[in-house]
Amino acid sequence: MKRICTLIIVLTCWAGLQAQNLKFGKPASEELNMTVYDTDPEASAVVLCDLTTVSYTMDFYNFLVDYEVKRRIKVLKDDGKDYANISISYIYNPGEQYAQESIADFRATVYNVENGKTVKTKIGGERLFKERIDEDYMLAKVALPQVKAGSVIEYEYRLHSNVFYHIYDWNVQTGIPVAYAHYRLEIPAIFIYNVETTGMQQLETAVSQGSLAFKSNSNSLTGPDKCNTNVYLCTARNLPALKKDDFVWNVDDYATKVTAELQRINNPRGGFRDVRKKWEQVDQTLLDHPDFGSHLHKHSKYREELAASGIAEMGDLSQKVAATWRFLMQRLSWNGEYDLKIRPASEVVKKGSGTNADLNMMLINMLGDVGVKAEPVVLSTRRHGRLPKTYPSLNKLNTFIVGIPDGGKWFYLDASSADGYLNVLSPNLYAEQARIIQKGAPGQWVNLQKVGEARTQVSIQATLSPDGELKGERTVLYQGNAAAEERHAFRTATDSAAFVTEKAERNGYEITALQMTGHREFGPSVRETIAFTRRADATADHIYFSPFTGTPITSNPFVEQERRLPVEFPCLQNYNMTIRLTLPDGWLIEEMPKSTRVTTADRSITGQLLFEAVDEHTLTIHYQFRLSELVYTSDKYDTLRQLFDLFASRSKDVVVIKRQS
Amino acid sequence: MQSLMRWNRKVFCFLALLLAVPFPALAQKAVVEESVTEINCDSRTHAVVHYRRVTTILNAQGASLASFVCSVGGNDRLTSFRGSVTDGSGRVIRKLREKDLKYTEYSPYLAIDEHQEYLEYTPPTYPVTVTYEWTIDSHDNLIEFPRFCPQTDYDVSVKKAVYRLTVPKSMEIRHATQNISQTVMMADSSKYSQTLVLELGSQPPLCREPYSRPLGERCPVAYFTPSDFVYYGTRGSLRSWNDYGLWEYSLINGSEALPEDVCQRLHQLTDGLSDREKVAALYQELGKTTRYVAILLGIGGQRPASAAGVCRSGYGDCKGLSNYMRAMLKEVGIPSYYTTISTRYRRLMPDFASVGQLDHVILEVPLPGDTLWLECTNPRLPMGYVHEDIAGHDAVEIGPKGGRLVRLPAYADTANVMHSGVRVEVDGSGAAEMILFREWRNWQYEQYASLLSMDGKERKEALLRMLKVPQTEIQIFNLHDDGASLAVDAGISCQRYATVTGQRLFLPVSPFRRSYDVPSTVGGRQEDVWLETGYADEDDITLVIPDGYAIEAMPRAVTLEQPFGEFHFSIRPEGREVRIKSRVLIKAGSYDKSLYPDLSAFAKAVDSAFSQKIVIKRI
Repeated sequence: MKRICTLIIVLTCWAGLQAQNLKFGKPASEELNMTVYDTDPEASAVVLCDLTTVSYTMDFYNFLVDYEVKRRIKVLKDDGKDYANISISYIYNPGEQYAQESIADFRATVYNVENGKTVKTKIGGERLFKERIDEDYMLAKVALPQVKAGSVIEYEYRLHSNVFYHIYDWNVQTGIPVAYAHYRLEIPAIFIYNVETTGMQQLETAVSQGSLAFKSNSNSLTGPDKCNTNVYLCTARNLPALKKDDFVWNVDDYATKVTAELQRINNPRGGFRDVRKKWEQVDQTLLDHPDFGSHLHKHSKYREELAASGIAEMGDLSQKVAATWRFLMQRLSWNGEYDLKIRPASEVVKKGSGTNADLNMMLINMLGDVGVKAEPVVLSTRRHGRLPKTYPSLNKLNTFIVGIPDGGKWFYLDASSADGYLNVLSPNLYAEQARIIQKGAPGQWVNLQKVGEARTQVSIQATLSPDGELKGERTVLYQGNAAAEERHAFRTATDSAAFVTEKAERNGYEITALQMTGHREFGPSVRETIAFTRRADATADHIYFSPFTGTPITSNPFVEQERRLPVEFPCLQNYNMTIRLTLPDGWLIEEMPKSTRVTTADRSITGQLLFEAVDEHTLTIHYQFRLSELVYTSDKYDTLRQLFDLFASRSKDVVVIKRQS
Repeated sequence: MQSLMRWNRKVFCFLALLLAVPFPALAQKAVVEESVTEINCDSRTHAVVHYRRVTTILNAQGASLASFVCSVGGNDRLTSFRGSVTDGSGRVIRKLREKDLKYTEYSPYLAIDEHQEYLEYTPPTYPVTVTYEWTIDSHDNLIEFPRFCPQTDYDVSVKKAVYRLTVPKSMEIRHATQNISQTVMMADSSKYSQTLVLELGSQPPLCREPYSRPLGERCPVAYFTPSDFVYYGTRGSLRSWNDYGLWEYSLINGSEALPEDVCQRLHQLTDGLSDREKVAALYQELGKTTRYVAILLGIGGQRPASAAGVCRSGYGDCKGLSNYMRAMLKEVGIPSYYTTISTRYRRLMPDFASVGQLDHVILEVPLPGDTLWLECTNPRLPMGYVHEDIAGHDAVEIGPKGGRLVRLPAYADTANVMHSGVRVEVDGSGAAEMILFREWRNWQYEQYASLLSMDGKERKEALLRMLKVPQTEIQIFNLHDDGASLAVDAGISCQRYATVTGQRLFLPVSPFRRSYDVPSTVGGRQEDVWLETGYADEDDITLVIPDGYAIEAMPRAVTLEQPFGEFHFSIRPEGREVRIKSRVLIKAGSYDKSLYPDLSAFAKAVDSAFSQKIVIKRI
């Protein structure tokens, strides 16, 4: 039985391979004549075949990584012609030893069928335009000629790299579908890499052993002429197009790809050198690093000024931290960039600005100067992508925040979150995996997705007049990320008028007075009191009015009927609103919306709308919405969509009152 | 039932009540303390330009003005750079040198003979004063001198700005100014040279206001060109647009030859067709066989690739593609004109010719009684459709006898129509079945043309976003396009069209989301009202009421007529149906600023009319 199964698998694979034309230079007639890609009939172009090979060669004393890329694309519609504009990014910094990459043997052919005959147009590497992006990176660009809807294009190139310790990710999934792709990665056994395949589509993978002959100098004493290799083979079939998405932070987290990160180098003469093995070693690498750990827990540049400021004498921990944060923000500003690497404090002070890493390290050391213990918490921002699941990776970390222990708990703080506070960060920093690293103590994982929450507490007292004017006072307490959002709106408003108008517009009332506190402070909350009026629809004997003056969900953002990707919210939500309405004398409630309570099966979303007539003239409403998870997988999408639909439609609720006859 | 929204002017006066909120006193973000441009031109082919900019940045809104960026073309060299930053007390907090500059060649084009040198600086505190001084050496590219434009952003005032241009006496200079009352002074600076000086005193900041002309038309600018120039070895004059055209013509003349086999194919495609059909056939051919790829090389990016070259590669930029189309038309006997135009400025200065006023090329095909304007970079646009970046703009028609100023047509306000028809059948639970039709024409078509490049799923989502009713599902969906017109028809079911409260249903008068922005009217208005494009939105909605229900309350009809627009909203019950008709007409043009509050009120009235509800009650 087992043999039969194997046979079937072999046959299936063979049949599958037969359908692919792996030979470049001769597109099959069905490729030339295809007008639509059956798996995705709306695709403007399709990658018919992508063959990528990565191998090592030895060049005298150096290892080189050689990439060979071959790609065949079918252009199906006019919109697909832009896939004939090719950009290849590579590293080239003449001033650095291990930063030399070059593109070689670029060639491309465009095939068109004209009057039944195949017409080829060929170009070579002389048509590449090279442009310097920055100190390290170059971009080679080329536009393939004679491309029309119907063309088959083929191109290939090699990329030679002396960055022997780095292998580019194989990002096989793109904006157009991929019919077939194959990746062959051969690594000499002296380099131990973590090779990981990720994504929503499965790849067929196999690992085997091979050998590599060195082109070594005959006089060289560098070792044997032959070494063993590990060969990784990955095949992808029928990958769907990967499109931009509004509800995930980094769509590449879900893209099909193969990543490889160097873990250790074996010495051919025995022994090995660990490059990276466990997270504990990543911690140590960071703690020992000249651009990271060597700056940690030093006295800050502002030590004397801090000593004179009296911050150290403050009693309360959060007061101390807040005062130190303000002290820093009066002197330095964030330059808009996230980083992990730290520049010398003197340089940052001279420039007057720095990355969040520069400022956070400064903050850690300043806190040390006022007697508050603080440690770095390293992570990959949500926009940068999740950390790999199966292996530790220093390369995938891109920033850190500040962690402050307080008893058994930790507080988190970030210098770039200008509108934030303790435990109130930019949602981009709410990573699922962040690691507190400290000298002399083991590293510790924390889930920052449970830290940030937008809390809003609204209390409304309003009176309805017999002519339909609703007049009242709305008091709001914003906390956590809700306070940060409010501060952000205030800080970025062009002027006071725009800020107030926008608020009035959004909530559908007129503002007659407004008072705010905490909107310009580094503090836990923002308070707002608004006097408002709004006109309801009134006839001679009825008034129809919406009891709400602003609800958090007025329309459903989830319009897709089906979804493959998850939904990742910016931060947790907790919205509570209490409304107390006084009705005019001589009028009675005729109709009132129904009270509703909803809870999802996993209890992560709860909501309620409770209407209650306290007496003839008083109506109270409790509105509550709470979201206690940040990520909802696609199987929960339907529930999410229905729930938002429900709240969006309930924001239009109406109360009817009638004049007493 | 009373009108659902009574517009009340009182709301605009609420600002006085807001003093409790401590806002930044002014929206102004920076002051240009000093802006000096000093040009020493020693011959027709060489000039050294020295710049000095001193800017005080008042708050974080102006932070981006602290950075330095300079585009350096192939024949330019940045020969010196230095800068400094001082804080509010006058203490120097940072010195900036050439080694602080970063270098990039990054561009969105395939290739361009230009790079950027830049320095990103984030002020640590406010205010700070940032000074930059730099020098650019230019040779063989003096088709015009750097323009004088000290006020480059909204909410920035200028204290003092000076422009000084020294040229040999033998060199005649032409100049033009915009929004500047001072005159350009001319004096001999030596036996052999003369100097033109323009000095500008203090300029108040310009506010960004909704519905106002773009900054480029409001800020002070001066332009200087040599009457006779040498540019990458070519020679020309700029005494008139005619002169300019002669030079442009010299760049394209002779570049229209096509290979013999291509000519034969063009004849096969078009022989026997009428002239208009020939143009249509070749425009279609252009779309099929080429794509837009910009290569800005060759005399500063001014000379188009030859027609044969574009034909061979199958791509080109606006110059190359327009010239290729001209060559194809010429081959089949239809004359056309290469036409330069600005996508930024509507008007060219009639008495002042300069290359910098233009940034795009289209093709004019003067068929008898029917001149066609072809956008050759986007053949997805219907042939002859004048898109919003060029409609109504001035342009220069380039012919063998030189240049001629022409003006492109703009569509009438009433021709830019969005027409919607919906029939909504509501049942007693508040659910509804909708049959919907919506069509966009001309400018409105252009706003929604992206629907054409979406896939089916994206189109459905785009349609759902146009609706404000929740819990909707699209059952049928069709998209049609025909020339400058695009239409959808759809069958939609909606679980919650109406809001249900006990015995009553509240029916929105329209399922469509409306986006008439209501501009704020607080604060004084600086600028006249400027509506660049006019259009008409027409709705024809039928709501069918479920059996067993009767209308209890209905919105009122509304009619508004203003110089800048009209609004008609009518509502009429007919048995079980309610017919709602509405028309919003916006008239393009410039209107006195005193009408601005009326414009805001108008938008608000339209907005509230569409958010009304019909109340029906179970019998």
